[in-house]
Amino acid sequence: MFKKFTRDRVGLIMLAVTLLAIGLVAMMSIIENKNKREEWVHKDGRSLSKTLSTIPIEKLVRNEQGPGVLELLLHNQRIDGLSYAQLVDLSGRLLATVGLPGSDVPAMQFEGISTFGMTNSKIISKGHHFIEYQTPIFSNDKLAGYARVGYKQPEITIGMSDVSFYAQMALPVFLLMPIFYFLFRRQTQPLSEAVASLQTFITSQDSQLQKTNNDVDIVNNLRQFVVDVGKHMDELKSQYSGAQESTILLSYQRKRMESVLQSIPEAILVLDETGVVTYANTKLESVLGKTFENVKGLLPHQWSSDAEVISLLSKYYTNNTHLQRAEHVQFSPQWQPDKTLTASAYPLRKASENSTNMGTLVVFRDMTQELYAAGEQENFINHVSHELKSPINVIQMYAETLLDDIDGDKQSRVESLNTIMDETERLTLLVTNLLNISKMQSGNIKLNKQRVKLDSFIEDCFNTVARAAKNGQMNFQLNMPAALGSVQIDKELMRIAINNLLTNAIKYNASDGQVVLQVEESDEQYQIKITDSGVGISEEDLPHIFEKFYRSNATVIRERSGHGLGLALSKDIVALHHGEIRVESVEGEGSSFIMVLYKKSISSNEVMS
Amino acid sequence: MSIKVMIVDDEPHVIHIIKQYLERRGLDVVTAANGKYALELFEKNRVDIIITDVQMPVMTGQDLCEKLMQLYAQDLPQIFVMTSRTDKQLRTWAKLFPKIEFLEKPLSLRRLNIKINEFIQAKNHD
Repeated sequence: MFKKFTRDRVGLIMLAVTLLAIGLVAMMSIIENKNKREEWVHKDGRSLSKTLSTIPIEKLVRNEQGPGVLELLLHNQRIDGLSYAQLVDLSGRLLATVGLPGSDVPAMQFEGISTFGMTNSKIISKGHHFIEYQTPIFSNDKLAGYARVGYKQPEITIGMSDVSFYAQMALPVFLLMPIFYFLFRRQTQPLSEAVASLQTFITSQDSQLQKTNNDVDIVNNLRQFVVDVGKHMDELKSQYSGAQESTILLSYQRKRMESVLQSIPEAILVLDETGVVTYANTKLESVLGKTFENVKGLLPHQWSSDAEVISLLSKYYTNNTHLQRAEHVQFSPQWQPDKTLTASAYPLRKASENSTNMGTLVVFRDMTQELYAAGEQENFINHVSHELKSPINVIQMYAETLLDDIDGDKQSRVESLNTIMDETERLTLLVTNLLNISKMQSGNIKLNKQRVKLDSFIEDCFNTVARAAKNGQMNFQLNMPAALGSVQIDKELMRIAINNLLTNAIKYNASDGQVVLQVEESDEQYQIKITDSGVGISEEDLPHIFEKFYRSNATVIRERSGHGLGLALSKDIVALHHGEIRVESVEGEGSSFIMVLYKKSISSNEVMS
Repeated sequence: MSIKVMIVDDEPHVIHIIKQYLERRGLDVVTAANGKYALELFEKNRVDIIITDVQMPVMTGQDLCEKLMQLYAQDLPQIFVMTSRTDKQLRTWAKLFPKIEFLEKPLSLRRLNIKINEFIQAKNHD
């Protein structure tokens, strides 16, 4: 009783497990089958569209000689799952369309195919799922249109009929398995023996085989057949791998081409002959605020709101013009009116022939910075000419006064002469600074390095400036360790750098202010710090003070003459000595300029380049 | 009645020498470092002649002239603009103002003297 029950249960469990297993296997095989079908559709679709792109358009469409290739395709029963095929010219006009009854052809979607060849996409139209393959087609080597072929997308179909079929199949299979197995083993026993003997027969040498001619013939034929089949297999294999290789190569070249276009610093756009965007690099977004996705497959007036761009590009694809030369236009984009861009359009041609138009390359360049720099340059020239003319103006007037007043009192004559001297000095300093700046800018300056005792050099710089300002009530202090050792520097240039910092400290100071020059030495560096108790630098100005020609708009700064070159020059000079310069400042309290010179860069026993 | 002159320039030396020169001629002279000060000063002290530079911080000579035109159109002083910028733009701009004359930089005090004499003669003639 118990035994019977156990046996029953074991039987039931076994049955259930078997059914489950078979069910799973069936499911997997259905999915696998679907994937295989999809893969097959892909292979077929790609090769079909590839083939279409090699056939000239004249042969694709119906003509006097009979139906075109396209039409024949659909009637070819061997192409499974093909639902429609269509030819469209560049303007989107239908040239030919064929479809199986009951399958509507969905509307064309551009995917940038004319630039980078074939694409495929999944399309849903009226509840039907299609996989569509698009490819450019050509007429006399010119892009003439696009071919599209649509396949029905393979579906997973688990109808009830399938399930019962698998279930019905399961039991007999399960029951018959052992019988099949035993039958199979019994049947194959002699066969495998024969195979084994045949193997020894083939592999062992001819001595044994020469027993009868008949036997030898059979064996030779067999061997020949095996060799032939092997060759054929190899051929197929090499063909396949050749095709694989060329696909890989093509996709590699395409990727490389794309990466070239991506790395170009300008925004690049490619239009085909119809004016439709087929490619754009990612820079487009920063320049025009649009991605490739936003513009692909569209005509200029559909993606651009800038009239200048639309009218420029329209010259390249409207039928009557097809401009053959490059043109440029400057504009401010509507989405960022404060920017200035240039758009340049270049017709794409083959290197060999001039006439073939393959579309248009459009390059967008952001000119805002360049124009700003050009404007700055002009400002600078105006500024410099003003700065140069001011002292000349003063000199002229004082000289005139001296001439007219040759017998005037001595005091006013001395005063005039002093002014002329001062202005001449100012002029000289300005010209020197200008020359040095322009040398630095052109990279023409050569350091004339000399061995210098740093302490006496700094003391000399300091005293020269302090002496010149002695008339006032300003307080000068020099704090420096007794001996600083020797360094290799360009004395004249370094003197200009330190001079500029010191004269600034005096110029932007209160008349009874303080100027302190402090030098600190550590193992690696010298730190030269020039501190004033002057007007200080506002937070707004602080990031810009080392820029060439920069001058603050603040009244306290504007009141004092200057040309915005001194600090820029000092910074350049220190940089030439591989040092650094920085500033700390509190507006209204004063500033500290800190110059750091590294011992390894200016040490006197090292020969610098 | 003595002639009153205002000199507007950001360059102290220029102010000093013109002031000295004109004072020796017996004219009343006031000075301002930029257009804004000049405007404030003019409100209190209606001078007959303004001699001004163009490029100045805070308020340029050009802005000063435009402000004067706006505020004192009926009672405009004679204005001498000292400039080395002989460009068309400035000349065209100056046509808007009947009482503007240019003085070329570098400035000749003798030429300034001639201009002032002309002005005084014209004034006495009225």
